[in-house]
Amino acid sequence: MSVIKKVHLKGIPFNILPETLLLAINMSPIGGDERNGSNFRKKVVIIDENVAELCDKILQNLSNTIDKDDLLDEFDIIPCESKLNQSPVIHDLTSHKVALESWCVPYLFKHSYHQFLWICRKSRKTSSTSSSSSTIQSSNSGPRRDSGNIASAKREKELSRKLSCLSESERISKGLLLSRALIIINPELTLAWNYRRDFFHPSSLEALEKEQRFVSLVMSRKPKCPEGFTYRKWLIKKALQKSLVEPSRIQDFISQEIDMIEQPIRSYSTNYHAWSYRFWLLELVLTYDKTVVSKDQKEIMLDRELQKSNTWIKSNVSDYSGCHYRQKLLDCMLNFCSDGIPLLLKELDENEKRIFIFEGHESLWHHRRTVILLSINHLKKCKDNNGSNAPLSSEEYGGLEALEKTFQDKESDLVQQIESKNYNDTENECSQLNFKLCQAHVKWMERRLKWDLTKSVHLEV
Amino acid sequence: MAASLSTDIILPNAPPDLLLPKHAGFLSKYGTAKDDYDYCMTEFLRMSGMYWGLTALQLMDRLDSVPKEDVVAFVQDCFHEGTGGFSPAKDHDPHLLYSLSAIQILAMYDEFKAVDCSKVVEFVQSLQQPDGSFFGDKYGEVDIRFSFCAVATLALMKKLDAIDTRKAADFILSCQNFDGGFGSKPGSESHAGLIYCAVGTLSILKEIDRIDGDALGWWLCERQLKSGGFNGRPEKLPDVCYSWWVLASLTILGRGDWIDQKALIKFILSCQDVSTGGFADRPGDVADPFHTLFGLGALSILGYEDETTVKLKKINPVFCMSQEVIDSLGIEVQILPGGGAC
Repeated sequence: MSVIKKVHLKGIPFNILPETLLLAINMSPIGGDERNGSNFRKKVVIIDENVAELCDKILQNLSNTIDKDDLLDEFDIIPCESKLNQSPVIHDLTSHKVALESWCVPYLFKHSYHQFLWICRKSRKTSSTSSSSSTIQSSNSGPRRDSGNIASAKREKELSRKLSCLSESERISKGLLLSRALIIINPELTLAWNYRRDFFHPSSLEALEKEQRFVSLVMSRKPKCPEGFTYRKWLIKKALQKSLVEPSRIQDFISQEIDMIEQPIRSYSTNYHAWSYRFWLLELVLTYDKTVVSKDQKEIMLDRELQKSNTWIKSNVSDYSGCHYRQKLLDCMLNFCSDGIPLLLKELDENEKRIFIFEGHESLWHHRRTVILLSINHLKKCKDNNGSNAPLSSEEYGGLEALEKTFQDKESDLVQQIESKNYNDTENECSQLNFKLCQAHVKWMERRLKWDLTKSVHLEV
Repeated sequence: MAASLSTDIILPNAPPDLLLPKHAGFLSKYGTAKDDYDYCMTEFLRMSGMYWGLTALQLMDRLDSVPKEDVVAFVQDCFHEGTGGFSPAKDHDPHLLYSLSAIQILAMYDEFKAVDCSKVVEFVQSLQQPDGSFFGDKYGEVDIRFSFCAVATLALMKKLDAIDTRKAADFILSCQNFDGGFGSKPGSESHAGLIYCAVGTLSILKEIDRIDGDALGWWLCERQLKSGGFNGRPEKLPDVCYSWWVLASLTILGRGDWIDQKALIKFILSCQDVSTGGFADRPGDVADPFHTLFGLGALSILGYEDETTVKLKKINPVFCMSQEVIDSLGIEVQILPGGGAC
């Protein structure tokens, strides 16, 4: 971070930290009942109030930073101790990064969490638990529950004192502010996302896009967080339901979202939820009402994704999630184009090249299996249609039977090449691994396709 | 069976013995400091955390080390009478994920009477969709995990007739890929944890014979690495939790003997934290209740015992609960006949 903007907070100087905060936490009466002398308690209350005031400032500071800088693209928590008179919110204006200093995170999270739960109890009906259960609870309370109850009753009183003066709309705004801080620290907190689903009502595409950018910011630190993807999906549905996007721009809108999730895809390999979401987006466009999104637009989208995925799997040979996505693209493509055979053969050729360049990658072999299955399936469909819909290339290859033979021969050829290579180069670990993966491939073809290639090759299994 | 070798770890030389007393201590003390930052941070999954810890304790016959009244009261606190669902913690939102954990906990204690179960049935029922899938909660996300939660929750309460079971199974099958595996939803990549959900759901619904046990069994066997551990997808690192997801699935498919069981035991034992107790995902990482349950669960399926420790209780491969509990409820699951040699 090159240019660091220092934010000085008025009221409480930061140089009382973190010792005072730590003191407050260590001496907190919660769970430490035996030390509850009256002087001690008084001191603790004062310090607790300071902590609360401080956390509120940090919270506001973080929120302002997020609101102010539309280009923020990265958030992180930086391990460090508190510095004199300096806000723990670090904002790099030139490269648009924001960070929190680690020392403040536990205090900020706990403080926000309890306030947030209080607001949820007041604003959301779903959060109310049954009254019968609390009756049972009190009859069961043992000593551990008692101390917990004292602590939570005290906290509840403090929260009521502080928050009950808020009007309903102020309370909701406060809840939205808190939920954002909680999510950025702990994006697995479903409750905070749900709160935004309940109370964030985008009236324009701009407002919605701002929310999308916030989710991207969260994901810059936690790229595989499932909650983030679920929420993104919810936002997309919301935008379409509320007609926030012009019908002519729907395809662009979704393409833009696909571009946005390339960041989590790049920063965490085999990012399951990211790829799964990407396919959901693609399917959304492909199955969209054809009067809104034309067949041409759908084909453009599919082509764009095919090209992108080609670039991706070329340089990420271990990312099977990317391969799986490509298999789905090929499958969609077979429904769109009149002749799928050249596409499939080309895919096998490309895959074969990679198998030799990047030896010993299980993903490449698994990808190959599925492409073969896609091909067999495609041929079978053509046969079932009595040849009337046979792909154009089948004549070129001498009919469907011969075409299946072409696929088989391709595999025999590959297996033979691997076999000969390994006999000459047994020292190389990757080649040995590739040889093993090739053996597994032969076994797989025998079992799954009933293709017996052992007659044409001489593998020592 | 040829193992995949590309992404793996090297195990320490000799694995420790199974340290049951340490694990019991680790679990009964876990997460008792309620004002901790960590406690707040993990509250979003507390109900499942309780289920993992308590089930693991029950497998070691140490369930009595946690006060039952506190646990049942906690589950009651998380029950939402309005919806009939359970939340992970008080004041959080109800979801199928935590409803299953809550019902599993109540089943362990024979305490279904602690809540109004007819409401729980209505909650699950209300979330089934026309295609047979399930929303996890009112916000409408669909996932194969939620199908498993819905079906297992109802099965434990003997109320499967509340939903369209045929359609529930149809949806599971729509998540199957060419490779024989299952993903989180139609079109998603195969994943060992989600395969467990698929296989478990079909087993409870007695429709396991709708899948090709050989094709799926082969895919699952290929998850075993040279270290003996399993990964969940191609070219990923091994992790103790996949010992459970993969082995339990293979067991339901009648093909538990297709893997190298000795190597798996060695891997699981190596993931124990000998100083704190508990299991981690991989040797040397921090232990937690999640990996502790799945490590012990897999050892239980494998019938592991040594001279120094008490034998683990038998686990049910579908519900991931002590077999005694499943027997006492009179529940039977469907297991595919064995597939012969791999």
